[in-house]
Amino acid sequence: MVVYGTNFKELYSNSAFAMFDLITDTSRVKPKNSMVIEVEGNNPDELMVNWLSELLYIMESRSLLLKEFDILEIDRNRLKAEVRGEHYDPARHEFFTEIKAATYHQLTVEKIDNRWKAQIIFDT
Amino acid sequence: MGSQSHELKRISDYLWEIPQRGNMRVPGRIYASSALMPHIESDQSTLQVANVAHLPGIIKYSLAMPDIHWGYGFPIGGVAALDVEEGVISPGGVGYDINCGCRLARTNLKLNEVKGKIKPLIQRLFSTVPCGVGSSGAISKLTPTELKDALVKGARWSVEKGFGERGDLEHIESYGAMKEADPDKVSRRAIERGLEQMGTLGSGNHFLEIDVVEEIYEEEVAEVFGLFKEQIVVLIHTGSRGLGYQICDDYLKVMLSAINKYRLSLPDKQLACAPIGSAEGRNYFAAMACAANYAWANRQVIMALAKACFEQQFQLSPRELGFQLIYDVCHNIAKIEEHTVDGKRRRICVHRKGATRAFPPGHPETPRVYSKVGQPVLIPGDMGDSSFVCVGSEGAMQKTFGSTCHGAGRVMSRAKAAKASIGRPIQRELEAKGIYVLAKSKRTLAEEVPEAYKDVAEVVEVMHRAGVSPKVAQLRPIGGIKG
Repeated sequence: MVVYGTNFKELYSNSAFAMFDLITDTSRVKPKNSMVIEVEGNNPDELMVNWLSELLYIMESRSLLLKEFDILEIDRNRLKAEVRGEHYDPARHEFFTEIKAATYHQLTVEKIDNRWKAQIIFDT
Repeated sequence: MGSQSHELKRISDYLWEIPQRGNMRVPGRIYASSALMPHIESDQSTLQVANVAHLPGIIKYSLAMPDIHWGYGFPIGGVAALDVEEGVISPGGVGYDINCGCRLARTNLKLNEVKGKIKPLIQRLFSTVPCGVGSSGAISKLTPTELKDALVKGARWSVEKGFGERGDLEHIESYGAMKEADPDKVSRRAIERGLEQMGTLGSGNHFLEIDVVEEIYEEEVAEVFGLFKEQIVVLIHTGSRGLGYQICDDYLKVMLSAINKYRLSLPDKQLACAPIGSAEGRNYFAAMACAANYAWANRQVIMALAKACFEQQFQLSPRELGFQLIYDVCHNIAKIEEHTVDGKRRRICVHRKGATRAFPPGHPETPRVYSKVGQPVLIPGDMGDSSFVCVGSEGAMQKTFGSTCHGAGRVMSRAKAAKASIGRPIQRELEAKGIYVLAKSKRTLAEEVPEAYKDVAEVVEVMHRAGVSPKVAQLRPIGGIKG
């Protein structure tokens, strides 16, 4: 998965959205429930993997599909975000792909010219 | 990463070698036919075979089966045997879906007795066996205490809960439980992910399939396994679900820091590992064993659910139906085993990632009922394609640390397969071939189209001809359910 953002913060929020767009049709997910989460990492790469892993864990343990990701605070080692979505409803939601994990394989988080780019490979 | 190209030396019709060079500690060896080689060389998997050969304590060869394809760090379809004293253990050498495996059950039914009943049977299975990404258990959500009990007991836990019979346990690799399991080494997150998924099939390439025995290659062995031509059998392919993925994820992080702590020099960070005897190594092994046990418990529950569906559908007594477990074997695991290497008995940690154990006749771990013929080996085909029953052999002990292939192996990524099958009525295409499939997600069907995989018959043939796992029977699918 290749994701772009006009800034560092947007890159992380776009990456989360893109991942959920692989998992389900996000246009059918309503932002009914919200929660605030914090994630840490030793560098932007680790922060990315930990952030996406955290969201996968939330999805599975609480049966929540997410679609909105407001990054409240972010630096190279930590991010705090408010995420919104709703509980999985088999009548309305279809799962496209089961993502087992976000991996470090060929993972890149970099600034190219004026925008940020991330490449993430999932184990599916 | 190591260097990009590796010279391949042909050893025999079915074996290729990557000569030892640079910091490789042993050569790499790939089982394949000329027909399969181009697929294998088209991704980075040969490089990965060479990378694995760099691991401290690796014995003899970094091995690859003919269904090898690119995986996280280690190739899928790889076998690495590491010395227990000097070697390392790596979550990447097992994979995310710990103890992903297959289970085959027999029945007394013949194809002509089920005509017209397959559709209702599949519909019944589809509504009874939870499948799909978001599926939760056929049994109500477990408490953490109950789950931890299952992580220790494995398949026995399911039997105690009324799923199946005690006699089933003898027909499962490691009798359905690795004794090294320690739930205290499993994170709270992994436990949470496991509470609701016991008895669920999951998604992706996992399935429950009704097959008919199409061909018997070894009459005598088939008879011992309880197989005969035209027979209806049930094949289940699934693993440890979210609990296993989380354990892999948790310990990959632990192992990344272990690289520096133990000053391991690795060609690729994804081979992250720790000495088997270190705290990190022991903890991972204990947690991995928990996931393995969860998967055995899971397949035990699913088989019992399937058996109930058969009983309801055909209204037969258990004796008449003859629904019995033939074997359950995993293809993503690390095991401590004893092997003879250059005439000496050694304790070895065998990593099988997309590789199936294939123990010979008379081996203490081969179930007593099969001790004369060898351990059943189950090789699932892709959706719509045949699956195979093979048997373990002395050849496997000598050549591959008692291991063989595990399936067809992808040639197309999921995304590519989904794209290639846009707009195609996959379900109807399969039905035209006489296979009735129900899937929770259309996308799953698209990703699993038969052309996304190598020809499983060719893969199995290589290991048959290489004298590793002789073919016993071919199974043709007539129906199935998927996530």
